[in-house]
Amino acid sequence: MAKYILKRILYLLPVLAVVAVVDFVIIHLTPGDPAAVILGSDATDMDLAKLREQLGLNLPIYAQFGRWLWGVLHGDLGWSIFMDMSVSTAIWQHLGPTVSLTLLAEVIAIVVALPLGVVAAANRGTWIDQSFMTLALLGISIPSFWIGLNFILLFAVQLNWLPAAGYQPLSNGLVNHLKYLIMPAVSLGIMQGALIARMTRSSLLEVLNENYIRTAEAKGLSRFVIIFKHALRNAFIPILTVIGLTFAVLIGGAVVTETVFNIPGIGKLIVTSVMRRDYAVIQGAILMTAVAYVLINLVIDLMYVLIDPRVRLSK
Amino acid sequence: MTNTNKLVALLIALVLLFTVGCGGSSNPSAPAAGAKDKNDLKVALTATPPTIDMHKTTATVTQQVGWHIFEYLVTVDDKYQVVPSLAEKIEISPDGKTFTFPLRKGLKFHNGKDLTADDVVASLLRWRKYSTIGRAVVAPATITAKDKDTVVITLPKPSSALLPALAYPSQGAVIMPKEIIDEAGDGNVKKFIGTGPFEFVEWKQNQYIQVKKYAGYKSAPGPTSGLSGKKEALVDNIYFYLVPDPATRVAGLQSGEYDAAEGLPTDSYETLKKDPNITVQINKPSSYVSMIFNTKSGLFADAKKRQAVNAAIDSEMVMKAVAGTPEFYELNHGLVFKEQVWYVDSGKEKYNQKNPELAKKLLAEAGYKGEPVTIITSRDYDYMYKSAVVLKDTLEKIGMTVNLEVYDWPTVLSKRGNDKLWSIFITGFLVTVEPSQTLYLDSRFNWAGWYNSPKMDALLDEMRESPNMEQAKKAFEKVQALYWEEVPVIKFGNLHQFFATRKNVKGAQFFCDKQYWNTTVK
Repeated sequence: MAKYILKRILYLLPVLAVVAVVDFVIIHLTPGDPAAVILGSDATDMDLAKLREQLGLNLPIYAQFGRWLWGVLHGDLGWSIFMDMSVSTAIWQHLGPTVSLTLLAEVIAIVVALPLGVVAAANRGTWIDQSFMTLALLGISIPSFWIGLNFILLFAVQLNWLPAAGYQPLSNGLVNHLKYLIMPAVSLGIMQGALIARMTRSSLLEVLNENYIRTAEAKGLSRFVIIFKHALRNAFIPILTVIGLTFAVLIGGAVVTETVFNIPGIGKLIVTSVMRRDYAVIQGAILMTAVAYVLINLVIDLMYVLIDPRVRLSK
Repeated sequence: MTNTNKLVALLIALVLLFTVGCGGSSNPSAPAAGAKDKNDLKVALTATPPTIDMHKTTATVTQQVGWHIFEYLVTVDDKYQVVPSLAEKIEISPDGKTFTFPLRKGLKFHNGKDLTADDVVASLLRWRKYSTIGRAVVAPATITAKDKDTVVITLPKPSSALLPALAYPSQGAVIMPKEIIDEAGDGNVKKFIGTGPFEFVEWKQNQYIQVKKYAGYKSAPGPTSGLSGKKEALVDNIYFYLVPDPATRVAGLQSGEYDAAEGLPTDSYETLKKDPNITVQINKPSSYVSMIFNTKSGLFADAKKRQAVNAAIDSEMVMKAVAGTPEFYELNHGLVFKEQVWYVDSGKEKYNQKNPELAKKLLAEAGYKGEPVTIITSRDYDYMYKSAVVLKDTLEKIGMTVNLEVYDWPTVLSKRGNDKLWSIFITGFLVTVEPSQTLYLDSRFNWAGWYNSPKMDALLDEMRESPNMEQAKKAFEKVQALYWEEVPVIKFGNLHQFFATRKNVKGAQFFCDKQYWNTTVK
């Protein structure tokens, strides 16, 4: 097991190397000039040239890459020219809101989706199944920012129940924290939940056709025991995979939702940094996202073993 | 339904109830506007400032936050005339070359230190190093501290441009403590310490900038006028929220999350005007919309082709596209606004000609053969994109070939630095205190567009060196006439600023931009 984990972590290295190079090249090939953004639109050419030199932006791209890579290998993700702080600090500061939002959205998604998927599968072909799956299809099709905007109009502008946008850290109280996060979390959760519900249904249906389920039925076990004890656990691996994927996507920052709700998370950090061409921050945040993605997948793989002992990892 | 199904359905019902209940349960304890019991003002700004170090950037957002913290040696009253601010008075020697500024007594910085002439000298020297206008006007001056409370600026020639340069709000000559400046070296200042009515508290990246009332603030004497006179912090804190999404600013204002919101989209005007909780304001003079020619290389190095384009422009059409309703724009030819003492009529006949026939004739005379015109613009600022689209249409109607290239704003900024990549771009210009501050007129500013006319430079110098306002204004008449003759830039029209607050916000004044001193929230 330990060997397996070590191997998986070593696999991380080539992935990260590719991400680092592609990431750097794309960002630096995009036109745009951080110096012009810093100095404002009224700045003159002379001042711009001076600042570019000061920031090391006039170096050839391979030299800039070398500089950056050297830093990264020493655990230094670089310095944000705008925020005047290290990139690691910037990411750390923006991680909290994203983690809270992700967890809450994921909990909402799972809590709604699993029962929906199970009921739909258990009542396959009936109106219950059809209406649940129509709902799920709607959930997948409607962009979460659109749901978010409508939530804002309804709950914030019309009813005045919830704040329209913004963020309060957990240290300001749980109720305050949730009050700001509930609308974005639900609008993200709907989409993720719809995916999970569909996967739950189809995975469960497949298992329900197995012989051992028929045996269980023949033995006279109750529907409840069959579904929850025998079928669901066997159907759970693909469901877990989807949950893992949605989680990994969310942790990389729900870019649009975070912008609409003005939540200072990783997605917002990436968007503002792109708008300002704050190269080091974009690179750092993307690298961080890649690491998180790979690690979450690793955790999911390990969880397979817990759920299904037939899976052997060490091979 | 079997028993199991009923059980599961019940489970779902419970779960749904729980989720909805969660959302609901937090409501009663949550007054919509958050902290109504506190005396705080929450303002939604449009963008994150690159820094609050006002010497270092021309970015407007920096000024919007910065001038609550920092103050100028001199500033402008509501007629845009320069008056003392941190200075007690302005003494000008009879030959017009020596300016003496005794400082007001007993002023302290936010860190408790006394304001001295050394701080002023250090600040002005640093500002001169970074500011385009500072360099142009103050470069030949010597700036010294005569004693602890007196600053003296000596010029080789008299200049009517010195005081306006010191008072110019954007990338302004604000006063900071000397040791903070020394510590900064070539970088940005590490601490934002000024003498203003509010002191800096905290900057939460991508969230807000908080300033609080400065208890030791001493206002300049006299009633509030423009940026001068009485300034008072009437709220305990101002939170400048950084909200780039315009729809979020509108919704946040309506729901009470913000007390005031800047840079609102003009198409939300009707909605907000009908909202009983909201007060709308149309602020002017704010800025004017213009197109800038690349006069260094390509087609428009030839003044005749620029004149041809100018002949074709229908300013009404452009401004209508930009602003939507007439409440938000005004057609005017002036390089200064009519509210300002500098306003003159020269060149008026060349503005808004709407004469495509003349344009075609001029193009033919200039030998135009269908070479492509490249307009670079951005959707990040709505007005830029909209005016570029109308402009493209106008140019095509007089037989020009046009490429419209749309980028994000940082890309436009970087492309416009290269004279081979573009013919025209669109931008806005803010109120100037004195018209020789206009960026595109003076070749020595070397600003994008690179208009270089020795005649214009000479006229600008004549204006700056005029001994009195009357003569300076005469010189400016010639400047504006020459501008409309050589058209390095075409002014489309004045664009007003759309601003709104909750009904409980009183006293937020607009002058050049928004000020939140003398503002209350109840």
